Amino acid sequence: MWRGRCRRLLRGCVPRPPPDGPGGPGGGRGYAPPAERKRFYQNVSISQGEGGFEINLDHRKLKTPQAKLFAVPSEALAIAVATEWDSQKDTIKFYTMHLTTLCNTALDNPTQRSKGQLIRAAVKFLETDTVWYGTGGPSATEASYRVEEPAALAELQKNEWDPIVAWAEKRYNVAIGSSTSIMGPNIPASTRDTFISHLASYNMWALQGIEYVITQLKSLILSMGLIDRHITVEKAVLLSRLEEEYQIQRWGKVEWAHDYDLCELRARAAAGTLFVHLCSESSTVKHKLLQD
Amino acid sequence: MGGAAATASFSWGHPEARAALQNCFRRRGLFLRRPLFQAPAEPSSPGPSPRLRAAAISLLPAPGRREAGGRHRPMGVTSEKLCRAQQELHFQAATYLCLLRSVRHLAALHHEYHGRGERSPEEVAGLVGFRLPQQPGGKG
Repeated sequence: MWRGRCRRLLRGCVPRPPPDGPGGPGGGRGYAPPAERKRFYQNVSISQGEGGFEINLDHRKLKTPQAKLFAVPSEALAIAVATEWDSQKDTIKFYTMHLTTLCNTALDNPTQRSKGQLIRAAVKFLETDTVWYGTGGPSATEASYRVEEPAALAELQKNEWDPIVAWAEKRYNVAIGSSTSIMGPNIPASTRDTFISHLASYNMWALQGIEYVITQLKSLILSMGLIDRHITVEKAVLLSRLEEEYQIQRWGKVEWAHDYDLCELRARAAAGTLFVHLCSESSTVKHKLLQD
Repeated sequence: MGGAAATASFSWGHPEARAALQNCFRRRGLFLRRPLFQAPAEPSSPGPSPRLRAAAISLLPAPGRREAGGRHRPMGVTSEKLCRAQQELHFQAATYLCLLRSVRHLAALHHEYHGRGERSPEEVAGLVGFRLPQQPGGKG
């Protein structure tokens, strides 16, 4: 979504590129990927303003796609965003700048969602959480909905996903349960309410990040494990892609698809987690009085 | 939660460890003018009596008792603490490292495999040795 708006990103800062199509003014027919913006700034720095920490590209202030001033509440987040901008060489690759994208989403809120709507969207993933759809053969005592055919996959899913479900049950004091039907398990209302009230304790920015991570990993449980620092990003991505990894081990890997997906998911999950943590923390400085 | 205390990474203050390290340095002829690291203040004689301490430790839950005992002295008090800030920072650093690594890898994959689009008409003509006609006034 942001790639389409990247030309308006610095509307207040730089003149627009000429609106030539890829085939030229003569009416071209071919497809060429959209021309990437060249890096037009030398230095990136941060400064503190009223709304928070701002990013300066040379002497110009960075703005969001909706032309608002780009201001973040946390200095560490500002430094990370500035690093992203600084690490672009020659051309600007917006698809690598995940933290910038997240900040833009939080600032602009283009889908105009309120906090309640975000929380509802996040908890909705509980019903179709990835860690439900595992495998369980006839010998499985927990009647959880899991694929039955490849027994090795069944075993793998049982070994990998059960601990994380058990952790979530213990940590949030909920009963997550499991079922055999294709519709997935029945989530009791108390579980849903617990998660809703837990998510309500985060601020708006952190919620945007949480919802982003949940959407990427397709699992509320795994996202909560990441936010609570129970599992690492690599492990969460592995658990989310367990079946794919199993198939890769069995049938081989296609680098331009599997590796690409893996790296993209890792980058997005890591960016989302970092974003949530940096937005939820606050730091204070307390000066000690020197005693003579 | 009790198990987390056992993962505290190191204890500078363990007297046996410090003494062993200093002995090792002395044997190699390295003379330390001052200690290599500052240990936190050890609980020395001012404090509860050993009997009282042992009684307090016996009231702890089992992992705490084992951990509070230390490796060499079952009834001693350890100076190891759970440093949550350290773990949080470590997690954040690991997450950022994962982000940077995967972004770099992704950019490399993108550069290697991503389609470059079709050739322009000029390039296609150039492949077979032709040049497109130049019509300064436009067509027609």
